[in-house]
Amino acid sequence: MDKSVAGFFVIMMALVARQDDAPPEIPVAQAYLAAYQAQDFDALAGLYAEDAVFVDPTSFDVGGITPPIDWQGREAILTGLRSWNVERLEYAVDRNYQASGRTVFDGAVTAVYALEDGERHYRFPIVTIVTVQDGQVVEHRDYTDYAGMAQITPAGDH
Amino acid sequence: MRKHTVAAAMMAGLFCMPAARAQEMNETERFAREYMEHYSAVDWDTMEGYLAEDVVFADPTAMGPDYGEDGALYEGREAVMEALRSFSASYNPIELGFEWDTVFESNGRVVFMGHVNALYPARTEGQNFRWRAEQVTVVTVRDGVVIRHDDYANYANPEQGLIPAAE
Repeated sequence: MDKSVAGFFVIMMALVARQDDAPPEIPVAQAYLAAYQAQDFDALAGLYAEDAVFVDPTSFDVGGITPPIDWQGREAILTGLRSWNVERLEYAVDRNYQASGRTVFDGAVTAVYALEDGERHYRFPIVTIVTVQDGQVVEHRDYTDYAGMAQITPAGDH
Repeated sequence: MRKHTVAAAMMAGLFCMPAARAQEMNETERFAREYMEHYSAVDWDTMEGYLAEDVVFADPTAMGPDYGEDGALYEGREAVMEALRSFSASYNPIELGFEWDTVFESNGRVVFMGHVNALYPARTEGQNFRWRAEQVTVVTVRDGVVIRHDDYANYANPEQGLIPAAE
């Protein structure tokens, strides 16, 4: 058998033991997502590697919604995030798992803007994949359903 | 708390367009769904017809003794098909059995969110082996062919075990 495919995708079932001990990347990824949701730029600066990448391949041709999101390096990422002027992001995670240093959060996110006349909430499906190496975030990768975005009314705000 | 005027937020660009989803599935999504049906059914011969000659097939989450920290990566249709057929020859999968809760398309990327629910023959009579895990697949379509396929699966903590074979 070709060794390069010995265990190709799912068939590693019997060969890969369950990873019951949480790998060290998970707490870093969780702390990162918390800081990202809070738009805590000081905390984020401490978590990104200097040469980190923030990319959303679904953003490359959605003119009118966002310029392409493909930021290279910590400073470019922080500049890009600040340009959003978003108050906070609220993830509703349907599935969260980690393998090979990648932590996957899939579900939906609500972007909350604080405007002078109150908050605006925009919700859309998203997959966020955070890659951690040596205790730092080296890549944030999003796949975003821009066309599925909808303004919502927060619960209790009627 | 950061306060901004409506105009400033609008100028920020992001998140400020009203929802614009087309009611009908677009051609890119329809094509990718068809492709994934064949992938799910381990119908490699039909799947091959959807792939660009220089397609890239990656699974950065793949784990095992034959993978490095960047998981699995196959470049070119020939390499992808060789890998898929070798996989079938070795393990004889019945199906990958994907179950998708959410599918969307943006910028030529069709994103599938859900589970792989793969089934394999077992040596125990009347039983099959099921391997189930969370999975995201991103299929990039350009000019009517798949140019990139990315899988992300929960290899670290799957549900797995014998189940009764369907009659």
